[in-house]
Amino acid sequence: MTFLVAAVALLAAGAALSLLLAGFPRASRAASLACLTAGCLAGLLPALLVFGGGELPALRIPWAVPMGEILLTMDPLSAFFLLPVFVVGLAAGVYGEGYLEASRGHLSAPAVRFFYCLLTASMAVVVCAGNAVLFLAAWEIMALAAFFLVCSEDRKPEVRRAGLIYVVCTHTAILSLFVFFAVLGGRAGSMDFAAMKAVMPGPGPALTGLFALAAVGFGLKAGFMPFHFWLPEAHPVAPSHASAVLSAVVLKMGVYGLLRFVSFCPVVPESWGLALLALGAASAVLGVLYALVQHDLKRLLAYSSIENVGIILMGIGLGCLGLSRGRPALAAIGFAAALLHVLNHSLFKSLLFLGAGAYNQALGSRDIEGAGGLLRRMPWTSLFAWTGAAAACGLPPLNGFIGEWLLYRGLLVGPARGAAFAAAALALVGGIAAASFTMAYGALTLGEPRGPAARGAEDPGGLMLWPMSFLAAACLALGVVPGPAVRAAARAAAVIGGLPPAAAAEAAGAISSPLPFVGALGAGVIGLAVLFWIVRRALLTGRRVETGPTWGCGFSRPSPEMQYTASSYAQPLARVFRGLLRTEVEAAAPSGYWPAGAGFSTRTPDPVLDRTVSPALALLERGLTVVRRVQHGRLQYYLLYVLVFLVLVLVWKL
Amino acid sequence: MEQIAQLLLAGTIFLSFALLGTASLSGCVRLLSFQGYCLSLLPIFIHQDGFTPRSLLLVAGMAILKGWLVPKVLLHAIREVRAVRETEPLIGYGVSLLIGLAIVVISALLAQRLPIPAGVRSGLLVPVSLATMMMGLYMTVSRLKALTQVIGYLVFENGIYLFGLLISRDMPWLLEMGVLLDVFAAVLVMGIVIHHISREFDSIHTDRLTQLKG
Repeated sequence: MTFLVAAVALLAAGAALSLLLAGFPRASRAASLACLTAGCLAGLLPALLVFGGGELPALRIPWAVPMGEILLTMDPLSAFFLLPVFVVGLAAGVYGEGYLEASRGHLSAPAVRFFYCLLTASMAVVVCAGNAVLFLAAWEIMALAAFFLVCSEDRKPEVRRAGLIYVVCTHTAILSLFVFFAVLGGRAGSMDFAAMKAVMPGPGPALTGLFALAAVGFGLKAGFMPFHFWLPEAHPVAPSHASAVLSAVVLKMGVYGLLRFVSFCPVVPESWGLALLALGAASAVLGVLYALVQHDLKRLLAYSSIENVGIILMGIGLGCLGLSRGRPALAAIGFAAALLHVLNHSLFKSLLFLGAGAYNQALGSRDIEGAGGLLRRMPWTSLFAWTGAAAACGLPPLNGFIGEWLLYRGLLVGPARGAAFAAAALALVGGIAAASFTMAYGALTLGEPRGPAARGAEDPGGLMLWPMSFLAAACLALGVVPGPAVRAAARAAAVIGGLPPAAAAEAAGAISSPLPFVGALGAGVIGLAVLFWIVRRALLTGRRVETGPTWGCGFSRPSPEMQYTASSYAQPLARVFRGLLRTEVEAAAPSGYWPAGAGFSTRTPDPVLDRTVSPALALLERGLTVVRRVQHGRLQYYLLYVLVFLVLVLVWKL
Repeated sequence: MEQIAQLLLAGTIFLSFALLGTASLSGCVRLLSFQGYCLSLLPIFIHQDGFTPRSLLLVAGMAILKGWLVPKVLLHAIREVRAVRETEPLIGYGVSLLIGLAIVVISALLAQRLPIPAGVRSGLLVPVSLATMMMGLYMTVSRLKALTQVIGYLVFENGIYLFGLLISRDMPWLLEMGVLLDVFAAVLVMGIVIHHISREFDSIHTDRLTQLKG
C-alpha cells in the first residue's frame, strides 16, 4: 500500500512540478517524466504483489470531509485494473513527451503534462478507493483532467464542441453516481464499500433501480451503446497520447465500476445478464460497423473502442448469467474474459492511438484518404501499428485473440440458454473488425502516397517509437504466453462472482487448462510466418527481382488518384448494412465524353448524437424560446421577479 | 418604554414611505440615515430586558454604521457622480406611495399569521419589518439610478435587521457582527460598482446595463 500511496504522490508531484517549472521547459519536462516513470513503476509493484498471492492490508487515513475517509484497499479486482492504468500510463506518458516536442507549440506542454499526471493518479485512486466519497472525488478529478486534456487545443471550434459534449456526458454520469451512492450510503449509514455491500437490497424494484443508476453512471463512462456518443467526438480531438489513455484506460473505469457493482450484489437477476449481453452485442456490432465507414483515423479507433467495450460487456453479461443460474464456472469464465479483454484492449488500443498520433503528425491531418505508401516511409510506426491492428482484429498470436477466444469458449462450451446470438454477433464483429482495420491500414500504408504530406512522411523520434515498441511487445507476449494474465483475470473474476476459494480455484483451472495449446497455436503462427519467409528467400536467391506497379490494370500512366480508396474498399460491406448505417452520400457523377468536374463524399452521422440527442435538444431549445423572452437583461424586472416570488412564498407558507 | 418602541417603529415605516416619495438623492440618503438611527435605538426598547451591555454595544455599532458611515459613503458617491435627483422613475411617486400602502396592508395580514416570541413588547415589529423589506425591494424595482437601488437594498437590509431583532437575544454576537459587516461590504462594493458604471456609461442608469447582455 505504501507503494501505491508513493505512486499517487509521485504522480501528483509530477503534475505540480510540471506547472511550477513551466518557465524552464527542459526542467519541467525532465521532472515530470521522472516522476511519471517512478510513479508508474512504483504503482505496478503492489498490483504484482497481489497477483503473487500477497495480501495487502487496507490503508485508512482520516479525512475531514463528512462521511469521507481515505480508505485504500486492494483486492485482485483493483490490482487487475491497476495494470492498464500504470502500464498504459507510463507508455503513453513517455510517448507524450515526444509528441509534445514534435507538435511544436500547438499544445501547452506544462498544462498537458499536469492534467496527464493528474489523470493517471486519479484513476489509480478510483480503482483502489474503498470509500464512496473518496471514489467520487477521484472520479470527478479524473473526469475533469480528461476534459482539460480533450480541450488542449481549445482554439479550434470543433475541439470546444467535443469538450462540451464530453463534459455534459461525464457530469450526467457523475450525477447518476451521486444518486446511486447516496441511496446506498443512506441505507448503510456509512459510505464504506464494505458497509454498502452488506445492505444491498434483494431482488425487486430497489435493486433494479440501483442497477439502472449504475448502468447509466458507469455506462456513460464506459461508452457502450447508447451511451457511446461522446467517444467519437472527444477522442479524435485530444492529443494522441491523451486519446490513448482516454480510450484504453478511462473507459475501463466505467467497466471497473460496473464490475464492482456486480460484486456488491448478493443475487443477480437473470434479466441483467441477458440485457448486458444484448447491449454488448449491439454496441460491438454497431461500433465496428460505424468504424468501417469513417475517414478520420482517430474517429475510427474511437468507434472500434465502442466495439471492444461491447465485447467486454458481453463477457460481463455472460458472467452475470452464470451467477444468476448458479454456475460458478460459467460466471468465472465470463468475467475472466471481460477482464482479459480489458487488459488486451488497453494495450492494443493505446498502441493504435499512439501509431495514429505518429501518422497524424507526419501527415498533418487525420484523414486516411489522403495518405498512402507509409509502409516504406514510416517502417517502424507501420510495424507497430500492424501489430496493434492485428491484435484488434483478434488474430493469433496476439493478445486480442486470447480474450475473444475465452469469450467464445464461455458462449459455446458452457451452453448458456439465450446466449447463442451473442456468439454469432461476436463472429460478425470479428469479420467486420478485420475489414475495417485492413481498410484503414491499407489506405494508410500501402499503395502510393495520395498527397505531398504523405510523400515526405518520416518515422518519429525514439521517444515516440520506444513506447510503441514496448506496447507491441506486450501484445505479442500476452498472446504467446497468456498464462499469467489469464490466471490474474481468473482471480479477479472470482472476487466479482464472490466465489469461495475452492470453486474459484477449480474455475481458474478450467479456464487455464487449454492455455498451453493456445500459446502453442500462437507460436505455431509465428513459426509458419518465419517458414514462409525462409522459403521465399530460398526461392528468390539467384533470381532477378524487379518492382512494378501493383495493379497496372492496363493503364499506361497510372496516377495515385486511381488507387483503391478506403471508402471504395469498405463500400461492399457498407452497402450490405446501409439500412443500419444510413450513410449520406453527396455525389456528382462525371458525365459526357470529356467530364469536367466530379466529386464524391460520404458522411455517416452518429445514430445517437446526430440523430437522437441533437434533434431532441433543438426541439427543447425551440420550446424554450418562450421563456427566453423573460431573459431581457433589465435588472429591475429581475428584482421584480424576486419580489413577487418572495411575496408568493410568504403568502403560501404563512 | 413600550410607547417609545411603538414610536420608533412608526418612525421607521414613515421614513420608508418618505423614501418612496422623495426624488432628491441626497434627501434619500438623509432619510436613510434617520431610519438607521431609529433602528439602532430599537433593541433597548423592544425587549423587556433591553438595557444590557450587549444590546448597548449593538446600539452603538448600528448607530455608527447605519446612521453615519453608510450615508457618508453614499453622499460621497453622489458627489462623485454629480447626480442630484431621480429624474425618471419607472413608476411615479404618487403611485409608489399607493403601492407602499398596499404593501403595508399585505404585511399586516401576513404578520397576523406569525407568532410573536415572548419578551417582545410591540406587536408592530413583525408587520413593520415585513413592510420595510418589501418597500426596499420595491424601491430597487421601481428606480432606475444605481444609487437609489443601493438605497433600496439598504432599506431591505433594515427590514431583515428588524426581523432579526425578534430573536436578537438568541442570536449570537458573531452573527450580528456578521450582518453589520455584510451590509458595510455590500455598500462599499456597490459604491465602487456605481463609480465604474458611471465612468463606463456616463450615467448611473441601470437600464443602460442591458447593453451588456450577450
